[in-house]
Amino acid sequence: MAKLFIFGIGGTGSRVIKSLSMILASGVSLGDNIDEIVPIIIDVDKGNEDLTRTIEILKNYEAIHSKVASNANYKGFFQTKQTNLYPISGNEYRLTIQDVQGKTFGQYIDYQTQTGAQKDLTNLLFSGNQDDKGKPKPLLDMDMAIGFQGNPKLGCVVLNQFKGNNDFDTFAANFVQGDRIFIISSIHGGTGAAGFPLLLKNLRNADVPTPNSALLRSAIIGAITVLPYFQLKDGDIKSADFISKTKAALQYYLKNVNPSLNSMYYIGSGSNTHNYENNKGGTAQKNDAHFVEFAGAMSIVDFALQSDIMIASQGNRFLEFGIDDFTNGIDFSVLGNASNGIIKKPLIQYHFFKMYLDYQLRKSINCQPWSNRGKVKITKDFINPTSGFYQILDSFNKRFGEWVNEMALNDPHFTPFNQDAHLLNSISNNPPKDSFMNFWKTNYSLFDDYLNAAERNIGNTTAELKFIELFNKATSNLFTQRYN
Amino acid sequence: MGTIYCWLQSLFGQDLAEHLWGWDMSTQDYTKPNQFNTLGLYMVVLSFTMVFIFYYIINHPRFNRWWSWLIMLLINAGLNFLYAWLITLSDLSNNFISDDLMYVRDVSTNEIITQKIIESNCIYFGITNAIIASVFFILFSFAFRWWSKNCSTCPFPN
Repeated sequence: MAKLFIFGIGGTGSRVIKSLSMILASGVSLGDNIDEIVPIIIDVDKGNEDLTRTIEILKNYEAIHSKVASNANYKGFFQTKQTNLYPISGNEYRLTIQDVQGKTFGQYIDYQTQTGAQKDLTNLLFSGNQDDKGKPKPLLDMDMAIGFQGNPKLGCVVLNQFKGNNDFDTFAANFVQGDRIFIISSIHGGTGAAGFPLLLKNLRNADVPTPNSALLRSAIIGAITVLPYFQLKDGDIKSADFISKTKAALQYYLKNVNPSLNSMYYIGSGSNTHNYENNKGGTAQKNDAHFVEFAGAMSIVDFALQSDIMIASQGNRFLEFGIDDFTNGIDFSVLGNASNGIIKKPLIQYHFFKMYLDYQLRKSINCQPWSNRGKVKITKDFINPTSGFYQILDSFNKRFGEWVNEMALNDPHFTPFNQDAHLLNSISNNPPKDSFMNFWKTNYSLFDDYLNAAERNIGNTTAELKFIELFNKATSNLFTQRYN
Repeated sequence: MGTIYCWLQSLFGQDLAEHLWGWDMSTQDYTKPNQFNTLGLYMVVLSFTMVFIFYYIINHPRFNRWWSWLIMLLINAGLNFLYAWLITLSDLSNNFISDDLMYVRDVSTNEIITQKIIESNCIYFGITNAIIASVFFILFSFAFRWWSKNCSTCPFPN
């Protein structure tokens, strides 16, 4: 039972983990090497909306998975186990960075008590200013609770607390032989750019009293560094600096980071990018989902699918993600065979699943044999507002829809689905196969037909598992017979 | 089969029943073909066919409500009514029914006093056939619905 520990650092880390959750919810398999993922988010900005959304998605995923996991052989939606290492309410999935809430950077480093050469050195390193609502503000006065606001040099100081950190030790204690680690960070911001090299250094140089330090030192570690893929509107954080920061960081990574990694993935989008609102952090930081984050999440799948032998050596495996032409947006037709082989069928299946739940479920429940046949029936009680499972699934699906819509509206557009089309025509550039019997059962009546057929092959189980299994099998057959 | 029809003999009358059993005045015995067997066989085959069409040919997710099943039952009843009514009406119109079953005659003058089998008897026999066909439709439905993909819970869940 090998685990993949996934560190998501900063806002980009959270958003890539969100995309990964959506991909795994659709049933993408991580292969035989990985049975379980353990997301760990590192972000001092506890209130940022990207983080809040991701945590909600992770919690809902875990709740749904717990219901389908009753069948050990289950394959399909939500099949991959996901574990929360930090169950304290309000801090789920987060590695706590201590001593930052309510403090300025100066207070964090005890600037007021420093004297002599120490104070001179601090002044030398951190004497600059950061725009704050258009006015210059000394770096030493910056509020740590909303992150490092594009200043990795602050992050390097504040995040350098893995050694002895209780949450980091909890992670280390759970790490066993065969487990892997993956680190997600952006290279052009503050938290990710600072946190990634620090975390990697702490892993490769782990020592007692950190639990399992020898295992951590030799662990298979992969990482993705997300290069600039969006611009910011004018404001306190200057996106014009992204490229220069990226170049400097890449130069540093070349000698200090890359040789320690078993796999390194690079991704970015240099042109056709969107201008986001310029928010330093907090609840206002809510960046729309982006194809780059989706492709970034696929790098984690790729890493999990590699055998130990393929990625055993360090400093040798570097990968990028490319698309021939995305001037007219991106859909399955422009993705490569390798990518489509992994995600096309599961994502389409989940899209069908969501569409059925949105537009047909209430019409068919209690009427169709898939609902009212067999010992375990899926009745209207199953979907009423007091039904915990369905409400969690519904919440997750709302986020799934939001994620798909945001990627469609972002630049470059990722539009695998045409939301305005009827069910069977809703796959962009991929109409269903022609059949002389197509007129007889169309759209949702065809879907019900597949559901009713699937119901025959589901044994005695719980209502929750039956419900998910039904849609797994039905959408799988629908895809295979009508689109493959 | 005739026994089943005769459970409802009060509807269509004993005389028409005797004719359908095969009564022949000239031999004073039931020497004509027993039409109950032929009518019953058609009724059973038609009812089974209608059940098969509903559960295995139409077999449609939008046509598996109780009212869909009821429509099929009514169509089956209607077809069986028409069949039985037209067969007996044909016998009546073509004078295939024995005279002693058809009329009460004056013994001395041989004039017809009353006609015992009239068109309404044929209609009532059609209704009888429709009722019995409906019973068979229900029985066949419950016997054969289990293997239908989309309609096995019709007219109500199992």
